[in-house]
Amino acid sequence: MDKEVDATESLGKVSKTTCYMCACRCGIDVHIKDNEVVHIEGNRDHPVNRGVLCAKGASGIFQHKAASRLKKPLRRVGKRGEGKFKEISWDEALKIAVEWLIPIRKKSPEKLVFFTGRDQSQSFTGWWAQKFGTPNYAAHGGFCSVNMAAAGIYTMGGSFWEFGSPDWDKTELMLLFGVAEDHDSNPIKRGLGKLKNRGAKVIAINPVRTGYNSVADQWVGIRPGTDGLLVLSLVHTLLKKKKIDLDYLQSFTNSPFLVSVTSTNKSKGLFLRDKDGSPLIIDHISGNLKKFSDKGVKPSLTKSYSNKDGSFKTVFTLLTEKYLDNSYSPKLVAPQCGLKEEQILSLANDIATTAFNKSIYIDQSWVDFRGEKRSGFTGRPVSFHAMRGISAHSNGFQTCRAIHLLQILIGSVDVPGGFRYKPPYPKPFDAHPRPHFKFSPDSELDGPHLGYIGGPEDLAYTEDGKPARIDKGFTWENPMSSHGLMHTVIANCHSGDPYKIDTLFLYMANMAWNSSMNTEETIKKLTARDADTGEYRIPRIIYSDSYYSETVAYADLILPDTTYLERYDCISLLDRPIGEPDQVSDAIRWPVVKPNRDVRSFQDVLLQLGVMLELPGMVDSDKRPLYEDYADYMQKHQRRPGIGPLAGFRGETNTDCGRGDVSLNQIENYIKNGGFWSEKIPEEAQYYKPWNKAYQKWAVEMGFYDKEEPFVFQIYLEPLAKLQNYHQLPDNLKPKKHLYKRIEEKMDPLPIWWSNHDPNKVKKYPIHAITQRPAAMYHSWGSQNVWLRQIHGSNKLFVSEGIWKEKNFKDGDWARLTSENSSIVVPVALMKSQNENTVWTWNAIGKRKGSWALDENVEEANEGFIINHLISDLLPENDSGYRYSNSDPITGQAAWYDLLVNIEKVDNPTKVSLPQFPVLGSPVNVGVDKKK
Amino acid sequence: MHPAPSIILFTVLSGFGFGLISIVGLLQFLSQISAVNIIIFSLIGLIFSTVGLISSFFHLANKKNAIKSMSQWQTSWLSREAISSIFCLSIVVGNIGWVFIQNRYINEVGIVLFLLSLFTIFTTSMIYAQLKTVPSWNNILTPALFIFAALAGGSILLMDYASLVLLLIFGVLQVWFWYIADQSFMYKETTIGTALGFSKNENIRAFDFAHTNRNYLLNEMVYKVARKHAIKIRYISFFAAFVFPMSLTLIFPGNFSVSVFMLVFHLVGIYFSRWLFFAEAKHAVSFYYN
Amino acid sequence: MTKLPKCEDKKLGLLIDLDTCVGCHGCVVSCKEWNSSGSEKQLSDINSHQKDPVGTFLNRVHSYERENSCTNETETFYFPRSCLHCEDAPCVTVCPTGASYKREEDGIVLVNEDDCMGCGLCAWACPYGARELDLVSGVMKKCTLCIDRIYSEELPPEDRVPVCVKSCPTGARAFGDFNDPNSDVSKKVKERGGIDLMPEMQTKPVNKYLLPRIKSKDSVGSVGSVGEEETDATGLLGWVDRALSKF
Repeated sequence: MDKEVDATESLGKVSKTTCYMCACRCGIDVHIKDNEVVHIEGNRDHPVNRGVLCAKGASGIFQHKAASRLKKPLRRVGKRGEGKFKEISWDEALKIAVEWLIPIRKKSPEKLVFFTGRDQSQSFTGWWAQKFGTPNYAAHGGFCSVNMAAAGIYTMGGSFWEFGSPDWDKTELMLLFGVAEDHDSNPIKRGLGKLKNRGAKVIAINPVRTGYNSVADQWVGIRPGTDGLLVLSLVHTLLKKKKIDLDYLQSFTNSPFLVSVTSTNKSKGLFLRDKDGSPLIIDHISGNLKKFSDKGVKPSLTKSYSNKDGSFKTVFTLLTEKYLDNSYSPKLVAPQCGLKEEQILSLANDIATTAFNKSIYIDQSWVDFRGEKRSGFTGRPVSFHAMRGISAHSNGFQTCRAIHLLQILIGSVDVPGGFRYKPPYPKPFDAHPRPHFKFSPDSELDGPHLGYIGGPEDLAYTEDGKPARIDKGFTWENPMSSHGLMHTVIANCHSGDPYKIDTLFLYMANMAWNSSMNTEETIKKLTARDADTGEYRIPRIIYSDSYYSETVAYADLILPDTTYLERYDCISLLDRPIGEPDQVSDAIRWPVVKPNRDVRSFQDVLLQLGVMLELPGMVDSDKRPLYEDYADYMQKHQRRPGIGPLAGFRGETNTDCGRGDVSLNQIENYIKNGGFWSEKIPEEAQYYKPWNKAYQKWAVEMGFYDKEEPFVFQIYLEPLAKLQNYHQLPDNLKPKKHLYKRIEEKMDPLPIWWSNHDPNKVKKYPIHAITQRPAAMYHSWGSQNVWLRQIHGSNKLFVSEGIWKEKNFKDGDWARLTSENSSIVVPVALMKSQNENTVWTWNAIGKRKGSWALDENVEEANEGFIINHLISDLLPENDSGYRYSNSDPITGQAAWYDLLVNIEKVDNPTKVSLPQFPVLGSPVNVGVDKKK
Repeated sequence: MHPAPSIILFTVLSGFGFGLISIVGLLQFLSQISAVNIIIFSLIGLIFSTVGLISSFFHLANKKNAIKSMSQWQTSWLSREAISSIFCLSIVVGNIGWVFIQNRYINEVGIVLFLLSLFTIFTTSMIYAQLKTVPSWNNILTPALFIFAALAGGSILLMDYASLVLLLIFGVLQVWFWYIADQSFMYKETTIGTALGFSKNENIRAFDFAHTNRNYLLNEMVYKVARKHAIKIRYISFFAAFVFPMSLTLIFPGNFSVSVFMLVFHLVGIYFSRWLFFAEAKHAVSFYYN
Repeated sequence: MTKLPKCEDKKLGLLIDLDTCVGCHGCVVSCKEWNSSGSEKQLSDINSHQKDPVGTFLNRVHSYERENSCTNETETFYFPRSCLHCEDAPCVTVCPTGASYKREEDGIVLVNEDDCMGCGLCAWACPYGARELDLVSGVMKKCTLCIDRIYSEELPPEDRVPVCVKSCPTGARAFGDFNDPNSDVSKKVKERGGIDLMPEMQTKPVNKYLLPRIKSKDSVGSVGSVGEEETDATGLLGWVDRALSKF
């Protein structure tokens, strides 16, 4: 390669847009020559990635040119699942869709079920569904990480990942819980690099030691699903050693709030409030009841209170009583977590010594929410990050809460060296919308679908007491299901429970393969027919995707989407924002190349449908379109006056930030600026944001909210106490009887832990089986990628040393994994550095034959496998014969990682993993090698 | 190392060809051969070495640049081999022409051919022997084995008892080579530890793939042959290349037709020997894929 | 010329920190992308959508488990592997056509594809598996240290580094002149002890590796140092009261 000359001129012009390989949404420089993408690299100026790029992003060129791209709208001609289609025109496709949708909207809009998967425009798709009038909308958060998001928002107005990040420049100790190469991957990698450079300590708590966990200074190979117990044991130890930040607890949390503890009190478990509803505390100095927010008060953490309704204890007292219980002692906890007592004590020691002996002080005066001046920012340089290993368990919500409790106890949230919010967060749960679900014929929904309930009054039931949503979101079965439950949709549509539907409309969600629990059963439900009529039980399925995924084959009408380089998108503050702790940012995608196929961006198509359906907000009074296309919407749409999808370059002169008039040059300005906009937070507003006047003022100016929203951290989560008070409700609003016990046990307003497994089940299925996402792949997109499938073309089940020896495995062996639900036959490999009771594999490498424009003999389909078959979507019958969803009882988060299996060695001379499915027919050709 | 048929054929055929040429040269120098036999056996040697060279040409992935391989004689054994073999074969052609036209020969040309063909075989062997990356090749036994295999093969048709001596030396070298190749101490310096920057005695194993399918490196340099299988082939090779020709020579001394029969066996044996030479050779890069 | 020059001026190379690499394969793919996307720069792929896909890569990342004899723990680490631009590069001297060469001015080892006959001997000579023969073009491919980036006059100065260095999300890869004792890479090598791979091969690699730092099984300091004496609920609340009164 004798290229001693400058070859960059051959790389054409650079267009700066946003990556779509994962939810990081890094800035990319796309080199384009003759309308062909020739190279993609990281954008140096972009706040998310600062020039770096991962394997997924760098192979985006093959995502863009994928052989599996759909080329034209399709109408199913064979049976569902055969993969037989005929190509139709867009006019025809839209006509069919509208013919299906008009009667639905006229009569019963709830019969449209619209769920989106890898949707990065949820604020738009949700708005569309709202205008259509169906209550049945959500994206994929319910099977992704709602536990993380909801626990964070409820507890402290923000969570890990999109809502905040460790203070990489100042933290001295970082604890990673259940994090594989996953969300926020490049910022975390950049951050870990910084920590390594500074010599800060990283501790990884994870059953498997790969990726970030392998570079951690210390690895705690915990038993899956027991992190909550470990964390509460740390809480126990820190309390016992008095290593907590009292000033922080007193000033910024609800630990001084007074909780009714008298069981006869109607408001048992609720806070003592004044007539206006403001929580009351006892002033430590005067001993009088005061409002928490009163100027000059010093809330007592310990003093109890009694009145005619009974007695009240502070949250702090309850917390102390609960966690100092010996059941949380490291000695008793360690064996349950598969750890040694010393490991827990050592963690506690590290946390305490770093937080309190290495505390930071930044000399920067600021004013708190009481209007009191403070001279600086105290920092506790311990930071945490947690992800799916925590959230994808059915005790995930409480476990996430436990982690936040630990962060708060040591005073390390939004302080120097700790966890820091990324604007527009923090935003307390009560500043978010409540769920909306009231539908009626021919009209829009009463508000946005998803939100945060404050108590049973916000649950989503129709007047006849049935769940209002098809996924049973926001019901007593999962009251805080803030992201919906996409994983229950197909099953519920199939069974017509809580009601029959007409059309299932899915976007970019591979529900017939790796995005479903119990894939085989899901496929059956997609193809099941009504015994009487012979019609499909799910009458119509519309699906939009860019690629020929396994799910396309099950749809009746396919609307082919563009690739990420051919479309407009906004990475909006109204949606899942990007941004870093010291600045607010948003970004766009724009068509840096034109599609060479007859495809349309899904968002454009939704607007076109909206116009044809004459949906409010999409047409004016003369039924003329309000927006030409999605790009036009991005510029012109206003959620609230002055607030649009894009926060930058607003107003006539394109200089307004956050709030400002609509500008028709906005996108042009984004493009000029490298595809993004960002604005730095003022210095005095950088930390203690929930209570920092300067930040609150700035946040209002920026339009994150319309009035200042200071709040206290919800160590004690009152909405859960309200749910536990269900017996106070009128009978028609009460939960079903079989739920009583569960609500009482699980919806503890203070974080708790429970084992996800019945001991009898553990005896039969003693081994945890989990997946991790490979660093170089994401969902099912990766293994069609010409380059990435050379790195991960097949997967093996990694078996711990103990199991390996016990079962006498050798390299090249195969095993049968059996769960309560099903069994699979897969190749095994030894990995020693993992929890001894655990087996694991890479996620979503296995493919179904015939899909993704891959030859049917590829390794992905023969040897590769997914463990989704083993995971039941419903739990076994309980005492009353009811089968709960395999989800967190509070949020409904799919409990992927609760899987237990047993393993046996089997002969498998065919070297093909099981189960196998019939080969899908394909509307796209198998890819051929690039011509040289 | 991958036992590529083109390379094995090359070393077997050209090895025999040049071996024959060197024996002819030696006999020519010693005036122990007739002019007719010089022509016949030189032609045979010429054909075999040329076929061998052509076979090696087919190993090249970019054949159009083959001619450039003569340019780097200062550092490259492969370049030296190319030059030396072409030079040697030119002299062979010249010698044949001279003998054919003049019906006599110049003794001194014989010694030149003897030395030059030996040197050519030596350069071939040095292509392998120079590689530190393959410890079982990287020693004096490789050139010794190549040279004596060639001489023994070359002598079968033209010598009797001298051939026995050459065969015997070859046999001893072959056994010695296998013995050395079996010694794990050859790898005592290089281990997965040193390959990855750690110390020698590290307990390290690959747990996941760098790539899930075979690639050029694995195809070319990481070849696994089962030990049992290899031993079997060693027996076959040793019997065919050494024991059988040796015994026949003792039983039927001076019988030309038996010699031809022996030669065929010998070359088959050498083919197996060379197959093992590659298949059993462990390249340092295999440590990365352990 | 396959005679090795004395590179007295500059020795450009990479410093790879195994303590920081998380094995994300970002460098692998970025490298593949940069070196195959422009015209004339092709790294081929065969069976892209079929069984046995195989392509040419100039950089690979391996995953290993290592028994740490000090802690008795099994550790994992990732190992990026590419050309080390050796001072005594055996791949250069064995080349019969002169296609392989080492640049005198900066020590970069390159292949002139116009001269390569695809014999593969250089790949055999390299202990590190740094060279892969491209199965379509039939010529040898290897890391060029992104020579078309580092000397580019078009790229912004901060981007004039090998693409693997630019893209590496953790910053586990650094590029610089190992001949200059004041370069960042030289300083780090001195500070943390840069390692040669297979020194016994006497190739004198320019690229250096930094090994994983010693991992602690548990934290330093005894358990008791968490803090004051243990307390029960009553004791804790009393302590809190007293402490708050001091605020």
